[in-house]
Amino acid sequence: MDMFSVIKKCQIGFFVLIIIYSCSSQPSGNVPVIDKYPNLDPDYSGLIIPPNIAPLNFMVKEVGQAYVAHFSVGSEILLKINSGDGKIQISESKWKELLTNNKGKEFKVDIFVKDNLGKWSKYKTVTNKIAGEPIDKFLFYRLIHPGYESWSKLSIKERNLENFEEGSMIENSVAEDNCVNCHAFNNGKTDDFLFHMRGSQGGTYFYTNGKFIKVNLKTKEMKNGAVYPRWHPSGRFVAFSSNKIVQQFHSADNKKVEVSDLESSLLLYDKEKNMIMNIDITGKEHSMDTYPEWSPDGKSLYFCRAEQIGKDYDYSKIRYNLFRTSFDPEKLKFGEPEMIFDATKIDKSMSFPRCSPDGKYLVFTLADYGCFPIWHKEADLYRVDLQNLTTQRLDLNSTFTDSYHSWSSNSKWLIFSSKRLDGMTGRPFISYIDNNGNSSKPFVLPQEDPEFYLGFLKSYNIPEFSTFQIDLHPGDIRELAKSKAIQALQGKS
Amino acid sequence: MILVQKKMVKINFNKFPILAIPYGLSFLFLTVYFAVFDPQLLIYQEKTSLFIFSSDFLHENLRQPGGILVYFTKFLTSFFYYPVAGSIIVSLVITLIVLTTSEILHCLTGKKNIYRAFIFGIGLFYLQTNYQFLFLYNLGLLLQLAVFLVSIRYSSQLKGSIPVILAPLCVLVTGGFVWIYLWMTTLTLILQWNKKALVKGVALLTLLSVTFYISAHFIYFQSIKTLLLYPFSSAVEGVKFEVYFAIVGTITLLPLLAKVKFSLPKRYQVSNAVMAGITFPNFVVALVAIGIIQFDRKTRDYFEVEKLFSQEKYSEVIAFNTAHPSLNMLTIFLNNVALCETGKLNDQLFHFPQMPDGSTLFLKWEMKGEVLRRGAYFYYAIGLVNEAQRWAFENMVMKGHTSEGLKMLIKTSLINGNYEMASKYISILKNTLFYRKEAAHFEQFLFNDKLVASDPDLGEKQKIKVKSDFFVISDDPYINIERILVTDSLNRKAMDYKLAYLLLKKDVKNIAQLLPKLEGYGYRKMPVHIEEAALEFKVLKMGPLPQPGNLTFTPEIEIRWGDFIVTFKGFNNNLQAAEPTMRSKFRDTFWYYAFYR
Repeated sequence: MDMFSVIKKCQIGFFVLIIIYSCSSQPSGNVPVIDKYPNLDPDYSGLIIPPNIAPLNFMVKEVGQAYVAHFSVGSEILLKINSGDGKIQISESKWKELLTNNKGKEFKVDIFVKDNLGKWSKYKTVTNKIAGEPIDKFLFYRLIHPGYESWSKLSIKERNLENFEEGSMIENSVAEDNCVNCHAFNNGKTDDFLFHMRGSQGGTYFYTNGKFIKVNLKTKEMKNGAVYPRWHPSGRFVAFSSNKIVQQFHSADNKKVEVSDLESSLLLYDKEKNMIMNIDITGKEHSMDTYPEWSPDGKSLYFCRAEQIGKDYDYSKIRYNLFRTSFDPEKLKFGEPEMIFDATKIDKSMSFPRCSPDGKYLVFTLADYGCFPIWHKEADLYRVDLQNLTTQRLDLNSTFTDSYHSWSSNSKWLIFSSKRLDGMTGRPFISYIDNNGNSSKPFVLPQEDPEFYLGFLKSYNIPEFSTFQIDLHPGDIRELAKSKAIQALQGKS
Repeated sequence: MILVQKKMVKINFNKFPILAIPYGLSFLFLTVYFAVFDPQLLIYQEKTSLFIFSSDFLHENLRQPGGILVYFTKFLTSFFYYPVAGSIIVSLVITLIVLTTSEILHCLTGKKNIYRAFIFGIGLFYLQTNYQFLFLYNLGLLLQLAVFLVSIRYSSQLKGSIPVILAPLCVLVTGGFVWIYLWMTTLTLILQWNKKALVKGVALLTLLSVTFYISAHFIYFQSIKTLLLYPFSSAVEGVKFEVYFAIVGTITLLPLLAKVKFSLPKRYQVSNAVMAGITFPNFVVALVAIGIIQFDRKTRDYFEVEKLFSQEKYSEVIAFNTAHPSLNMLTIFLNNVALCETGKLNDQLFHFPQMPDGSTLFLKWEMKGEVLRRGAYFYYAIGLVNEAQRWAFENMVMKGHTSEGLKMLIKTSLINGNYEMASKYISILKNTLFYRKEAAHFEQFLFNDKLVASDPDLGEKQKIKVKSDFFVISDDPYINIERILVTDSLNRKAMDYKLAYLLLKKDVKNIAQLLPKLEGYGYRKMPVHIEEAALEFKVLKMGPLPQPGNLTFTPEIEIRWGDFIVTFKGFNNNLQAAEPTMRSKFRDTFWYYAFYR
């Protein structure tokens, strides 16, 4: 017998052993049922999920020596997954098949656990529903340490939601570690995209139809720089808020950072004319206006407004309300502001207004005070019905910060940043919004390794949907970053 | 004589381990030096770096060319945890550089001459005696020399393409250090000056340009400067990079120097053995001289203090500083924290030199430098847990994980009851080489409020943790103490620091005003320096002395005050003339500080 024959026989024997072991490690016969739902991490149970989402891999957090997950629709088991450590990782192709063939249906997940005595048990069946409406294919976010004032490596990432591919779009390491922030798309429909860079290579970087330019939006007439952006649906204008921001650090109460505006106003940038101008809205002299948001038809501008604070202000008494004003893109004129939501009346403060692309709803963040809720544990998402201006707290909220949010292009999915997993790092959660504007139980962005979030220390900042992939690589801004920014012109409002 | 020389040239290194003796002796000398006389190098570099077994950590290090070298360096630096292992590694790298340089010379000249190579070794030893001179620099140099040696030794293999093929590999593995290899190889090819060399040179430069282009556009998203230089950085204060550049520059000229025929007149020519007899003792003398000159007791003492402090051996910190007095601000800062943690801050404050501006008590916020790494200790001591966590977190963001930083993040998260975050930090610590035990220790506290509350350190800090919310002023740490005490009448450690600061400010009046409150903060006796200040206030009749409750002046203090005054008057109240005597007798008192600082 030659060496190769021996190896071949050993291999066969090895595979036979594996098969025998596999057979014995499957639940069979009458498996006793434990009267409780399995503890899954992430909690992927009772969900409505998009038909094109990446596999929802999870950990079974129950004590045992072997685990089996059965995925079934009706009485047919479509997927069986074995695991020795409770890690259930689903084949992408089989998962895709499961979802695309069963749109609008429920699928069940049965979890079997073999205890340390070798006995199998089954937990109560977990049920999830596959929605008919897909989610936008791409998600963009900034990865940043949920820290205080320093940063080192910052990046704006692009994640394909249909699988686990993640790529870098912007890395600050190509630009002397400058801070990159406030990336914004034009409703994720076109490739209008911008972000700010602060530091030695500072400027606002606009990307349109494959062309990148760097603009210095701050003119000598402006007191503060352009900060929070929103694209006008036409792609010609961008509304910014111009803020003077202070950051302070709490000593107690499990609070960390307080970010407040000392003053703020709204700006309009005309991209075609490279011209920036103040937005003149009645009452702006004694108000702090911030967080602009366009209606999907571009005829209205929503924004948050608080009373202008004085020198000896109390940060915990600053309250922002939701306002709306009309906009005439031809004459560049804004109308009289009307209050849409009076947060002050309920002793709260609102921020981040975001309209659904179908124009039916607006979702904002409500917190106890101020305009920077990402550090507010009590921050929750609320929905305004723009037909009748009624407001409702969404069911997707948790006892931790639920904040920055973005709509999918079909207005059916809302992604938002939540700190519910550890109280500190922001994670993207996705929720289905039904025709009545109600939200489903949210689920965290799936990862290939279901234990990923346990060890990952950075936050997912400003999650934004997009329907297309941007052909942009971090190396592309290297030269531009070094170049001098085009100076914006000051226009008259 | 000539015969002897010829014999020496033919000596096969493997067959005559006698030639290994200089290497062995040098290695031994360096190992003993770094382990015994210069352990600060090992402590500093180990404490500012942490190797983590995780794909994230690997990925983070591979983001730039040279990342593999950095990754490997961090792995080796982990072993600095044990001074003997660390000193062996550091010494081995220097010795290997000498050996490799010697082998390069051998390849280029056909002669073995280890003595020229030893000169470089002496220079590198000199540099490495500076604790801030990263071990990475020598390791990077060693790898370049090793690759160059391979390239010239096997230059005829693979149709002479070895030197060209190795270049992109060098870029990926060692990053900016590749310039050493590139220059040595280019110089070698120039000196060959024939058609083959020209082709190789063109191929080398083309391949490197392509590598660089691909790196810049598709693999590494870094600035051009980083792509060209990383991981080398000369932005380290206190390191004499001109010496490093001179050594590296000379080494890169070896291909040229090897061509230079230098021979002494016949009457001065000696055999290699004789040459060895003359030169090697000189090298030994040079090594010893550098060792003595570079021996820095202050720095060594500081790092010993830092090591004891990180082990929370506060009494030993104080004892060490008592035995080895230091003027280093950071040493005294750590000592003051140790004094506070052991309840002796205002009993022994003036046993150690102090800065009147309070900078030995607390560090002002500073994003760069060494302050950020240590500032958290003060806030942790007084129970300002959020701020301690902030300093540790910011340091982690700016400079990456360190063992001490992670421990602070774990402790503050446990105290705040944020077990999820504590669990994250513990899992990182668990994936290190030598901090697993500590991680396991912390792990038992997860989701166990009772255990946290009963722990001598965590429980104590949880009790004094600041409950009132205010905005922390990092630029003026003293204000934070005032803000704590406005609402918290039980935080004795904050009161200790307030009193200490008032002592440094010689603010006897305010100290006297605080006397009635001391019992409420848990003082059972007046701290020695407070007693001294209060007695001064009383004797010098600076105002009516508020009643300190049951706290009374001890007779010893009154006797000592009498002695102080008598001694001073003995010099006719002449401050200057009295100073030496006053210093020898009273330098550990508030009175001396008040008179002379």
